[in-house]
Amino acid sequence: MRFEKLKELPIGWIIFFSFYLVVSGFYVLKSMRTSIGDEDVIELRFWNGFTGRDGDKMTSMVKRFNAENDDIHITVQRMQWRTYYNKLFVAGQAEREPEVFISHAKSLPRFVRADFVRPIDDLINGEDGIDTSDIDEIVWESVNIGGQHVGLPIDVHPLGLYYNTKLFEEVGIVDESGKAKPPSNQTEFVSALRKLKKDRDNDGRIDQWGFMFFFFPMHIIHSWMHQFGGGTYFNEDFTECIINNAENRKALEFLVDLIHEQKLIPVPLPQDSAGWDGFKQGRVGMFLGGIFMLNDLRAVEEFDPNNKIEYAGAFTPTVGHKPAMWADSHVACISSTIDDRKAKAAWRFIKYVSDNSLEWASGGQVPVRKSVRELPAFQEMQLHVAFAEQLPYIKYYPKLPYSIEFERSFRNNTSSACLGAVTPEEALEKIQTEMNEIIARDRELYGDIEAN
Amino acid sequence: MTSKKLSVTLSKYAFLAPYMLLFVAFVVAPLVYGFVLSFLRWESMSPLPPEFIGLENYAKALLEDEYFWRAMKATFIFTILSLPLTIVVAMGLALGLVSVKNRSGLYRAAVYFPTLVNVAVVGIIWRWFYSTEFGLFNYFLESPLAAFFGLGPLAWLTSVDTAMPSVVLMNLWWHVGAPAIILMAGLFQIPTQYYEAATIDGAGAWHRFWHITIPQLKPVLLFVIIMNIIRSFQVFGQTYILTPTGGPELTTRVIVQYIYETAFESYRMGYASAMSWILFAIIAVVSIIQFRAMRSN
Repeated sequence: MRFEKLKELPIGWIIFFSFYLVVSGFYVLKSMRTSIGDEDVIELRFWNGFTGRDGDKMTSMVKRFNAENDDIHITVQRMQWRTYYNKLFVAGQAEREPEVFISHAKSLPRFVRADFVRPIDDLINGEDGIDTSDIDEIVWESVNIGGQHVGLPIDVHPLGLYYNTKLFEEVGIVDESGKAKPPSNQTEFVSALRKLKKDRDNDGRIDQWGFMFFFFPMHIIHSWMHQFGGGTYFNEDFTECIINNAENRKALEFLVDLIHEQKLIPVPLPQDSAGWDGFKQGRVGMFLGGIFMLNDLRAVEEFDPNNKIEYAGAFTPTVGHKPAMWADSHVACISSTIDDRKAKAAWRFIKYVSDNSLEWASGGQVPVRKSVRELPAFQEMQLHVAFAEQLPYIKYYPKLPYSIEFERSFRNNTSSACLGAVTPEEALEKIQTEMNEIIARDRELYGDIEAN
Repeated sequence: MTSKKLSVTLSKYAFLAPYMLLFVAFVVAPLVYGFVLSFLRWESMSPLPPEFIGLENYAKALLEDEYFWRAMKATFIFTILSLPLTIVVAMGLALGLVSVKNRSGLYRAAVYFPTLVNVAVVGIIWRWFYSTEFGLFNYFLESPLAAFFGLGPLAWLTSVDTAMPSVVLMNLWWHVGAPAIILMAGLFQIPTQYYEAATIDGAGAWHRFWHITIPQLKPVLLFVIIMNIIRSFQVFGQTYILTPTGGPELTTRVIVQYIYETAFESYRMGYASAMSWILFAIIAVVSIIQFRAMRSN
């Protein structure tokens, strides 16, 4: 190709490619500079599953930490929880896991088994440590796997009751002063369900419910099983599943009865977000959920300030004989493969998050440090305080390396019972059979689970 | 071989090379690797090394695992419901697109548009449509007009009977564009003289469709059917987004989802590989039968 005259030169393309080369060259050089980096700056990767408003909170905390600490630089990556765990495990198996990552307490045994996490006992008891008596014992115990603490819980999120005060007052569920009164026991709970269930437009179809489920209610069934005196799923040395016992059955029967006999709750289904959607629209009076759902309520209010939901938070109603409610924690973990210098840097970051957990709490969590919960700023958060009062009664899931398989079996079978396809007893028996198979295979492959 | 011939041969391979390289690296190699894995007990979290167990994984899936068969059943139901519906609707759309004279580009784009949207986005939007108490579909079904026609709200994703049809319906909306466009292209290939001759001979619209369009369209139609069956067996995104935990009574947990859960949640790589190979075998057999049928015509 020959260009006879200057005019024939493809000027546009030349400009475009020059521009492209300059810009990409700039980025390549820039990334090379950061990756070669300053020898004194410790680079840490931090992965988590906080994709909502909690994620924004965490990211802004990381930014501040980076600004305040010249010698450490943290880069954050966040993903949806479900994909997050799969990616984390695959990364770990290829030995490319991040230096710091978040795990739910219930998933820790899997990480320990895969040898991904570094116990933090030396760091927390070291010179830059934290007084562990500042953490609730039950929460601190949730990260104790085989005698070692494998991470620092940065929060605890118990199940709690959200209730629509306007609907409560409308149907007369009130205290002496005429204010909405949340149910605290079985009688009050069932009576509230009855009063709140309504056909508002008289078309023969119920369009207001006292309570509806949100996705599948494993957390609620777990809480109720504990409330009825059960909640024991395995024998002491985890060699046998014993979930089909009288107390657990009673809890599941109570739920199935509410659905099918009394018809006070619509059938809970695996992917139906109706309970929460309905609560946000003011068509469901009560909702049992984690404190993190608060963000979503706030988002609705911000989106449409006229659509203000009048709600409050309360203690999970005790439908059985004793108070109990599901809880879990986000636990900050350190990778087992990093050297001491990096581990110390990672710990400084984790401690920073813990020390500032009031800010983290405002993203929809209960702080685990008693000293933080005593701060006046925390005491002003009504719903947080109501949920935090439950801490002495919280029940974590059992510590299982096969927690995913347990959850799956639990969910599938109790869901069948709620649908009415099997009886509660058959459902629990099936979980027992399935889990015993899994336990047998697990013991063959890995040996006994260390008593925790 | 002259040097010219040689360079032609070499250049043929040179053009093929980039594709073959990727094909071998990302299709053939994992396939072979997976095949080897399927004879091993390998739990990737276990400290134990992989152990050769022969056909045990296959035997377990085919003979013992209730959930494998339930997932297979869900997959077959999806395929059986989805295939005829997709073909009939795609055919209708294609016939419509062919007959449109003005703004045909716009209509083609409109038909194809949903396919461009990511399955996650489609799934999330449709999940809201399907919400039993507060969703869009039931909002209309609860209206007096719907009642007049004897319709009422449906349980959609939350009932054993309607969960899979709901997935199929969403899939239809999302995915019907591609076969419709392919069929449309096929329709344009049919010489108009055939229709003219038939019309002169007094053939009605139905006769023209049945005796000219369908036979002429056969190769394209078969291609569309085969691709659809393969795609249906591999369905995953649609069910996973709409019903992440497998739907009521696991009626929408399809085989690919079960394989995914086995491999990436339970880390039972050997067992998951065996199930993948069973699925592969089924798809291969079905495809071979269809290609044979196509060739004989």
